[in-house]
Amino acid sequence: MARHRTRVRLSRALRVVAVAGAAAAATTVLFEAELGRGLAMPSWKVATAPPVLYLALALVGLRRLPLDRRIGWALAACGVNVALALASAFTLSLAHPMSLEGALLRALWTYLPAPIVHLVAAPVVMLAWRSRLVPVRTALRVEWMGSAPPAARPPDPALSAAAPNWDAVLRLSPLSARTARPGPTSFERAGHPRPVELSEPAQPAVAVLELPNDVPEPIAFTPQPPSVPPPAPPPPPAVELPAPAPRPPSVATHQPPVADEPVVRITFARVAAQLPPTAFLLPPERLAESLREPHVLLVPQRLILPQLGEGAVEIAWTLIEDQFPELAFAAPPAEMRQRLAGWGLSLPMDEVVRQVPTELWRREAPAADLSEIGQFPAPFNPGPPMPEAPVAAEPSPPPAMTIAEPSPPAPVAVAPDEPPVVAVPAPPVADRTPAPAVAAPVAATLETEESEALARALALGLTPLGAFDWRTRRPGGRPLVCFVPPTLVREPIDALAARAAALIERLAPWVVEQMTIRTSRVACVLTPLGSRGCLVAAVRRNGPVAMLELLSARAGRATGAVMAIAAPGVALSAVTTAPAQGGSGHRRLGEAARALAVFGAVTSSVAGAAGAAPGVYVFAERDSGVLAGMARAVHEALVTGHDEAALGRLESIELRRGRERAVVRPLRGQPGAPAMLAAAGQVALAGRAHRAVARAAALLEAR
Amino acid sequence: MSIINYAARVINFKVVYYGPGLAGKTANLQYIHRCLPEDNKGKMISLATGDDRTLFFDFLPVSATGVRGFTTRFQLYTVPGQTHYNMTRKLVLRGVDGVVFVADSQWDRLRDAVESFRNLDDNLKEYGLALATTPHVIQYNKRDLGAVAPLDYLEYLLNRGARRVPAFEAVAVDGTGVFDTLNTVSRMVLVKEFGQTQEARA
Repeated sequence: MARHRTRVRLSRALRVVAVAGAAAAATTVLFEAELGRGLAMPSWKVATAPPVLYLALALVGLRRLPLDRRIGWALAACGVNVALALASAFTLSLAHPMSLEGALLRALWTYLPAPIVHLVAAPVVMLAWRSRLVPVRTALRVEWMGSAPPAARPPDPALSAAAPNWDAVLRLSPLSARTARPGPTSFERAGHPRPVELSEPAQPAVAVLELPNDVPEPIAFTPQPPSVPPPAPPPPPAVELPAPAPRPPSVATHQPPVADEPVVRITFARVAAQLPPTAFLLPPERLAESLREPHVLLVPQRLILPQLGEGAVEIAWTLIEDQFPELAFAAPPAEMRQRLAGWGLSLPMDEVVRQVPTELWRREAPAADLSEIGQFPAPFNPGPPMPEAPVAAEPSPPPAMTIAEPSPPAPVAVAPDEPPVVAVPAPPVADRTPAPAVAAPVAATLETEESEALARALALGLTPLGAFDWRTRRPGGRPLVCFVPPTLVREPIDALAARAAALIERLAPWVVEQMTIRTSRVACVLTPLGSRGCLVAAVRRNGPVAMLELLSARAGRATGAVMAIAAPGVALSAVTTAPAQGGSGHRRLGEAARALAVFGAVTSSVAGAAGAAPGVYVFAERDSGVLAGMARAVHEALVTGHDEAALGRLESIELRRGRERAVVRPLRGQPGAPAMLAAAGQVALAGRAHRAVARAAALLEAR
Repeated sequence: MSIINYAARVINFKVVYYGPGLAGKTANLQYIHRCLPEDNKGKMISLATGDDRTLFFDFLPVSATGVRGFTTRFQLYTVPGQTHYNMTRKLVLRGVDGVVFVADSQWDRLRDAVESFRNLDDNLKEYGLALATTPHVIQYNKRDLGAVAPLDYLEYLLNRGARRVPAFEAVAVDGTGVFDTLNTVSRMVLVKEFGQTQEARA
């Protein structure tokens, strides 16, 4: 905004300097060319000519301004005249060997062409401040009105009836003085303008005018003869928002406007919220007062009729921008036009429809012949409505989904081949976990139904992520619902999920809320559902893992499952760790600790290898032994026997409870060096923590 | 396209409630489901999202009075109104016998209604059907709300065919106009199947 003001002021100053310089230069050139030196006029006439002339000009040309402002303008013009004389005297003294006093005398009255030049140039200089007095368009309109009476305006140009002339529709026709009512703007108006009555019907002059012949037909699904008398053009192929038409330049307002045309008055307050907030310098209330017709936007009816059949009317910015004062814009009009290209204002349809005469759009097509339906009685006789099913008083109700088995299969029921989003069950496969030797068939059926109901409920929560195949299994007697995109190979992910679910149970004392396993090809998120089993969802490695974590947690909560329960009485096996120093055989350990600062003030320690258990670098504020034990459990469950050929390299395993995260990452280092990295702490930025662990791992692998 | 089981003397019709999102299609089916006696209705299947938006479709099989020795069954479907579920809408329209177009009468929902109506026309064309020849009615729903468009303007927007089809004002949540709509479209479907014109052709 400030930039625009500065630009306006700079532009104004340049114009003043240019005109003044031109006047001084003209005077000097004329003097040097010895033109007009012989002209003479009494000095009192020369001295009184400017005030008289400027006063007359102000009284005649600025009739709509108060008298004091007109006199002020005349005095200002006199001042400018004197300033121009000074400028001319200065240039004369420079260009000709004469004193400054002599040059001043010549510029003021003894050399007659000079006062004449100044007399003409001063009003031109004053034009730079014209917007302080009256907006440009109003001034020009006043000027035009003075030149010819409205009755003498030429009639509307003939409009094409063969086809809708979109150019004509889009062209901004200057509204007449009667419709536009040019009035004072907020910059000059002391009192409040006439109030706007919201319930005011359309002005009679608006309503009784006939529809122009070129109004395009609203689109109809079945073409039919219009009821509007004029020959109707064929309907346009599609009603689209008119493209913004270039605004005619301000000087073009001298063209005679078309005859009065019906307009629709839209209360500005109803559409003010749609205006870009940074586009105007004025607050909406002031802006409303500054409109051409205060508090109202005027929209020609011819722009509205083509869109009336769409149920909504949008008007391009370029069609209404001239109703706003130019100085209210936060940027020059050209920039505003560029910035708001394609922007449209949705008009409130109730105001629009109320003001458009009904006969312009109402159709009276004959009713369809329904005489034959009388031979059939009403097929359905409703009884009193049953009360709606009460909402189950569960602490955490399932999502608003009702799944009921369909009654007998309907012959024409549409069987969705490939629903776009809904997860579909994968073809049943044999469970890899050994089934109980003796299983009651009824119990097995119930378990299957329970699992499938759970899977359907979970599927709803994952729908934003696209299509998944799901499969339920019961390793260890608890449901494991595994969602895998059709583009991924399911079996290795299922195997990974089964091992990870067992690991989560083993780590139950740590109260794992969610586990994310990242390999170089897939990311697999496990969300324990308490007694209801575990939700597993996988995406490609570069997929939306964070979103998957979020939606999995939400889906788990939506099923009412208790997310994680600490197994009482079971403690994680703590491993003895020793503080590590960067310089004592473990290079770059300090750098790694600094890289992991996102986990808090971690201290680094090392758990040595013991038999098959690997050594672990541990970075944590506390419970380093427990973290090392977790890392070893992860190694045993997931790293050992990892199917790298199918899933890619195992990169990290992330365990989450609340805001606390523990990240375990296998390391590829020299033999004998610790093979695992474990870091834990309160983490606010999960992605950053993940990258920090990767960086620390890279440092330690490069040791 | 109706399916006739001559052995069981049952004829099945498919009626689809079509319209923009949140217009009240599911509310229509829910009210029908609540009002019909148990003998005349099956279980309603509804798959909705957490905010009650229809995710796939609603399905309610209902049986009606017998016609000329046949038991008539109507399978009522809704479609998800949201624009990005057009594939589902097309699937649901397959084999349709009658359409109820449910429009929200509120001013700010009119554009959606027009677009949905146009989408219905397009989707029917993909099955070689035309709206003008498919039995259909229009229901202007939510008439109890404040900011609703006048009926003549709604008719101008949605009922501008060569012949005006039956249109009903409705408040689906309290049942106003729900069964008028259903009975009319059902009878129009029956006329198309059993009407004199059909018999004359036969």
